[in-house]
Amino acid sequence: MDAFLQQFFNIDILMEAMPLLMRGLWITAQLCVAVVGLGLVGGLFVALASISQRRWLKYPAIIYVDIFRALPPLVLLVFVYSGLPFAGLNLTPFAAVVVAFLLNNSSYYGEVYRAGLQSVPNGQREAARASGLSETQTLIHVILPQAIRNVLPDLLSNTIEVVKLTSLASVVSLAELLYTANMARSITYNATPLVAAALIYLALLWPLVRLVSRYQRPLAI
Amino acid sequence: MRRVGLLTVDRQMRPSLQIVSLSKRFGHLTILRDISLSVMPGELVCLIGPSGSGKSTLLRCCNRLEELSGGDILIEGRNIYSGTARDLKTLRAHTGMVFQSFNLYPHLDVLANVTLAQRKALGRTRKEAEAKALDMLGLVGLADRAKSYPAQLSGGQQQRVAIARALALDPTLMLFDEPTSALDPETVGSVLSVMRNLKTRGMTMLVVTHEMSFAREAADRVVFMDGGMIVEEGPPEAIFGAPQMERTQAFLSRLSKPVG
Ligand SMILES: Nc1ncnc2c1ncn2[C@@H]1O[C@H](COP(=O)(O)OP(=O)(O)O)[C@@H](O)[C@H]1O
Ligand SMILES: [Mg+2]
Repeated sequence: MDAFLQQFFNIDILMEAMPLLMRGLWITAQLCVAVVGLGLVGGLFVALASISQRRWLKYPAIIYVDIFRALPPLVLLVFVYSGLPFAGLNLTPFAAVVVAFLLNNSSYYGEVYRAGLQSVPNGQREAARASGLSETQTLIHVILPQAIRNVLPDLLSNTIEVVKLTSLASVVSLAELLYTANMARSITYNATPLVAAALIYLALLWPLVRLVSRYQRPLAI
Repeated sequence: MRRVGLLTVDRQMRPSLQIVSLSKRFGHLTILRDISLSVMPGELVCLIGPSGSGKSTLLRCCNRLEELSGGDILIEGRNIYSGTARDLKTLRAHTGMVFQSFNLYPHLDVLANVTLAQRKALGRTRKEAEAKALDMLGLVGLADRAKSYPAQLSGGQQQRVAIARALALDPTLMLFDEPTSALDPETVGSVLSVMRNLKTRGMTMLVVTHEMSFAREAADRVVFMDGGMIVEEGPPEAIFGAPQMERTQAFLSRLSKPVG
């Protein structure tokens, strides 16, 4: 039992690893803000394009979504980081992660938004247009608020997936939370930093998971 | 003085709405053919006819929610199918439209429903818009429900809010597409009485309806449509009392048969 605690819950090791873990957590936080923020905005444009009446917008958007949902995010990341330099495009690890996950993530957010936009009855748009609102005003004041409310649980679920996804960034040596925890483990020959990293992810995501469960009770109409 | 008087007469003689040999196709299907119809200021015209005869499409054309295949529509003498996007915005704001399914915005309370287009399409301040909204809600008897959400109102109340929402934009013309067809029988009366009240205030109205008793008693003119054409039009006594065309007679006799 003692050996187990020594290996997994070692307070001294934890204290020693803490500064490193905190630096990793900071990078993870920056990644999440960048990837989630850009994904939420990019996904909206992808969704708007994919339901557009204009074919030159609609079909490219549909193909985009299909491709980047089918490609494994890790493959995408390695390609952006190690493949693009052959085309003369060198990205920092942080930029590579943001680009790769944005491609993946905006397709997923895009599909969620699309479902939301399509869930708003056409009469809403008609009424807004008939009262003199422009297409953009109709979208902002009438369609989007309803669309987003209708798919809020799915937007949240997707955001949870994105946060977990950021741990893949360790493969391109970006010093985010998992990477620093693993580094601390190899320095200290002790698993405690990994346990700490897991607990940090849990603390970050558990409230979100709870929230999704609450929302996913049958919606009152 | 005399000149001014003449001008006033001139204006009064100009139709609020003038539809000139309008045709509308969807693909190869002709939905409306050679429709000509004028509505004079202050007039209430009821549009009746079997479902699928093109009544809704005709109303939607009057607000440019559809593009025409032929003909013209003039509102207050202005062709609504020419002109800039800005013209279209004001045109739409000043042509009130009321739908069968109300189409209130469920995420906004009643006050916000009635102020949204006032602020965004007409550029009124929040204060102006709210004052106007409360006025209009008072007119439809719902001033005390300003803070309710649509889902908390009965169908009849929702439709009255929708009417207030359109009225708040100072329309010169109101278009109603079967405003009472989706209502429980007990709330139909409240909506019709709001519409009668609008008529006494001089509002110009084009109303698609299946409420024949309303058409008979409130309309200045009744227009019967079938198969995308105007079959017959005239004062309600004539249309209901002595219809000239066979198709009108057939339609009206089908309606008057006891239900069930
Ligand atoms: N967007 C559309 N595309 C194709 N056909 C349509 C469209 N809108 C209406 N129609 C057709 O036009 C005809 C008239 O419809 P509508 O104007 O709704 O009639 P009404 O309101 O008199 O019942 C119907 O046959 C309908 O199927
Ligand atoms: Mg109809």
